[in-house]
Amino acid sequence: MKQSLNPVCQPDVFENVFNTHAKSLRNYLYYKCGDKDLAEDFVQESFIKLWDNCAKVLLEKAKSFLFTVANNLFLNDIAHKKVVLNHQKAGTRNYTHETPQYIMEEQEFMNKLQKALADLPEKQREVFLLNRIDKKKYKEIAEMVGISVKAVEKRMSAALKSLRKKIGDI
Amino acid sequence: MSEKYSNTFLERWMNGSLSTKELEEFKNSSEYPLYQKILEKSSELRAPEFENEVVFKKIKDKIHKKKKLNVRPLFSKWMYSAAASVILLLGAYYFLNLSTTHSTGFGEQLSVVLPDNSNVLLNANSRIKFSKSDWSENRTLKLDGEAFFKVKNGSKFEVETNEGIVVVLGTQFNVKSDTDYFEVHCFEGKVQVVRDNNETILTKGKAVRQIEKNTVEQWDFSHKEPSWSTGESSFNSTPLKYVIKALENQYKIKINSSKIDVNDKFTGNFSHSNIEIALQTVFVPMNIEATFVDKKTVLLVNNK
Repeated sequence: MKQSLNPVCQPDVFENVFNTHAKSLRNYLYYKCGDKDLAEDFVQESFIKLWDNCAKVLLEKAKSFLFTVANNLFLNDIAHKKVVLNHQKAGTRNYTHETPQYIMEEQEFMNKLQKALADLPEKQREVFLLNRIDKKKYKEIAEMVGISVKAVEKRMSAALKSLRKKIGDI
Repeated sequence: MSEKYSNTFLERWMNGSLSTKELEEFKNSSEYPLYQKILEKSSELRAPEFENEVVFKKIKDKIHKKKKLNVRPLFSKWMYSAAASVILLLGAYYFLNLSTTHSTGFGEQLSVVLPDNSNVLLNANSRIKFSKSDWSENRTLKLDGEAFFKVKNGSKFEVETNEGIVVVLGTQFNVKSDTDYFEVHCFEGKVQVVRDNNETILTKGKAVRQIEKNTVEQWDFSHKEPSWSTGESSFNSTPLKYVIKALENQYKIKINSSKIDVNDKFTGNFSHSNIEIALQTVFVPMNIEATFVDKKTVLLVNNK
């Protein structure tokens, strides 16, 4: 005997929504605050809020609900920690012709890059890393963050300029 | 280092809209290598790992803990065991006589499939109640409000309302029940309508209605399904008070009708999609003015 239960309230659908969006949401929050555990906490809270409101959220709107809730949680969070982003590297490459000098220079560059990223204003960093690391297109970034595509472009170019200035100066 | 390239230029570079000439010039500039390296190297970065299963489990645990917390604080430990055994006893009894309820809110419609695959479509602000466990032998349900029934052939199917009872063998019919208002339309098959001690049999295309203690009215109709199931409520010589109630149920508003005569009869429809138009279609022909005193309240006054 069936009743029209909203899809999001169905456990398997809810889990599917989680598997589709949780990592993306976590990355976005991580790029904002640079704290892996805090980002994960916000992800958990966002999904619990989604569950609590499952009867009122259309399946197609679940992603924007999650990102809006997460943004609000972040804004309300008082414990803004100093951003110490510690990005993992993609994996070692076996270039036998790289000299120790080159490897060290590359390492230095990455350190400079990471520090410069940490110094970026949060608004620029979140957009820049969503594009560079998560490979998100501008349109999707605009939806996630809640801004226009033009605004995304502006933040990208501002970030790039900032990074170049910082790395060039160091 | 000088800032030779503007933000707009960089935007156009990054979204690939530089001309071939511009791009070549840029690639030969002294700024280019660093810009390019920043883009490339940042692409090689990775976010920390994220284990879906682990995090999802944490979420599930938290959700379950929240549910329990809502119930626990009032009861001390020893009451737990007492409560548990009482529930077990009740559980056995309740299971034999389980009552299933479905209801709709304002402006909602709900389709319910019954255990025998009969179908009930509930209109706004209505409720049905029935026993799931012995449904096949005892197809009786209670209705408060309005619903359209499609009944599969089988044992006697009964709809009880406060205003009357409808008994059916297998057919499609609409029952509208409100205080002192009882109306049944038969769309298919044969329906027996019982009210007080009066009994009427309806076949396809026939309807019956009694408002308060007035004469029982019978008439023929030709539509194939209730109009409200396709977004319009229709009324035939119906006292305004019932039309007003239907508007309130559909749009979740309060209508103040103290200044008009609610017994005037209305014939016509109103749409479920736009409240302004709905109010106009009902009240303009009745020479009544409907105005919003606040977002959710409408005042009715007679036009001079």
